[in-house]
Amino acid sequence: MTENRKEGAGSSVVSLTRKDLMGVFLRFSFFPMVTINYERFQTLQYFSALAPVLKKLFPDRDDQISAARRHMAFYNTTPQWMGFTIGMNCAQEEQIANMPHGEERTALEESVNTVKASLMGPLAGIGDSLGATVNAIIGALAAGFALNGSILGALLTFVLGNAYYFGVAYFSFFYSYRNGLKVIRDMNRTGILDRLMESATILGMTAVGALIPSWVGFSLESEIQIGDYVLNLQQELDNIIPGLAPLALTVLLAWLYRKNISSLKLVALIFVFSLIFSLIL
Amino acid sequence: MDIGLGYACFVSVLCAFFGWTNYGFVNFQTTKPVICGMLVGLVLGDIRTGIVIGGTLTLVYMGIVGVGAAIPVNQTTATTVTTALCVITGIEMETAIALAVPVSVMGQLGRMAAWTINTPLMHIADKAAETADYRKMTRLQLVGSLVFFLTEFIPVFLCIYFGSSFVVMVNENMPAWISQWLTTATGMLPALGFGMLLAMMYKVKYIPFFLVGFVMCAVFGGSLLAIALLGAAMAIYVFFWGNPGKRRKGGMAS
Repeated sequence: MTENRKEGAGSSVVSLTRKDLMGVFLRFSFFPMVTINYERFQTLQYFSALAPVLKKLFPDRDDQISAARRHMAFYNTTPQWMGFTIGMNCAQEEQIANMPHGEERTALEESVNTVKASLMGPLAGIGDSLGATVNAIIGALAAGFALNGSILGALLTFVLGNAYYFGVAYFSFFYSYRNGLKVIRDMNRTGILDRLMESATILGMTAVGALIPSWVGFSLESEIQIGDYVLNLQQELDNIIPGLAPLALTVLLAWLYRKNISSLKLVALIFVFSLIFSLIL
Repeated sequence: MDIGLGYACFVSVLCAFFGWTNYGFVNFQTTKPVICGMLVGLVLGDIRTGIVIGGTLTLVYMGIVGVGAAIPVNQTTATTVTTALCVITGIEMETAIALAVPVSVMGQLGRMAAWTINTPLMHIADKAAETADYRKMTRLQLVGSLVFFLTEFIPVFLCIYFGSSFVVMVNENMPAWISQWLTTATGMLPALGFGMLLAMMYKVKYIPFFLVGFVMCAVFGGSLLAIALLGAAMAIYVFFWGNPGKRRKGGMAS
């Protein structure tokens, strides 16, 4: 077996050019979810991003079949963070193509899927929560401009949102292609993702705190007459601290949401709440 | 109010386009309410309505993020359809925003349908893999993209074509207390977005930062950008000098 399929190994080394890698980057970052489905999620997109590279690395038909087969295994993660595994896989596939057939090669072929399967979960964990925080910060700033009718909100979202998405995708892909499995060790040692997450959450929490009094728009306007005394609810509340009612409502909803009450039920609750509110107060 | 089939199709294609970019096409942040709302408003001739509705819905859907395998409610289609209906029928913005709730669920159902319809593609791909037919496998993307367009377009078209006359009819006959109700409700809805976000990020150690943000705005009336800079200052400090606590051994930090 080894003798008649040696073209790929030894003398003629197949390697990926910058252009090849750029192609993979553009395909996975532009079309991460076109064929997403309930059975195997992003699997086919992952393969499609790699397909031209695999075709170049494995001119042999049998090798192409086994490459396609191994990339048909389940894969799903946060789109822009896909770069980490796809970058490592590119390096691995390149290595595989330049190896003679044998046990060692089979082991490396298997490790392609090990990398995908073991990293997609943690990557999605970081990616989804960091994404939510970044989205909230950008959204908070953008909404502030937009509610005043300014076009700046949209521009800000466009620039910052794309910078985050394509920045993460580009960096993760090329960084992990160059450094391979070392990336995982580095991340654990420096704890950089932990610190990044921590910092982003601090910024996010500050922004959310500031958003509540500005944008949760309801007040207790009515006045209650008790004898000669007129009780103005809003004024009394403002005397304690301004923005107390919106704060209380937000904290209540947050608490209920943490009790696993779905967002749709909470929307219904708000409509009931506001009905009582607009009728009585 | 009859808006005509041709015009309804045009508006629906416009509205469905942005939701489509989420899965079926390149997404240059065009799924974000501030951007798609503005662009729909721009095309239909009332950019200000689009911007303000986009801004409001940004707050409402702030806590909505796709986590893992769950499909979240469709904030993009909710924004585009709400903006379009508001501009076409000329109703009050506060009333229009209430439309976002049912539309976002319809859009979500459309996406669930698309994920289901796309499942057989995997089996076609499996077969093609056995013959190393890479061309066929990558071409399946066109099918997936088309499926996502249709599943966005159909609910949007139903909302625009039948919804516009319905909205006008309801709006004309709406008693004052209902519009009062809807205005109060849309004022409260952003609290849900913030609440969900708060629930997601909540840890006792983050409460101080939340309180600083709140007090700076509510009591001292600082601008949002200024408070965000303050938050950034604290974040940078923690990033370089803080101690993120014990690191877990093995596996990736998460």
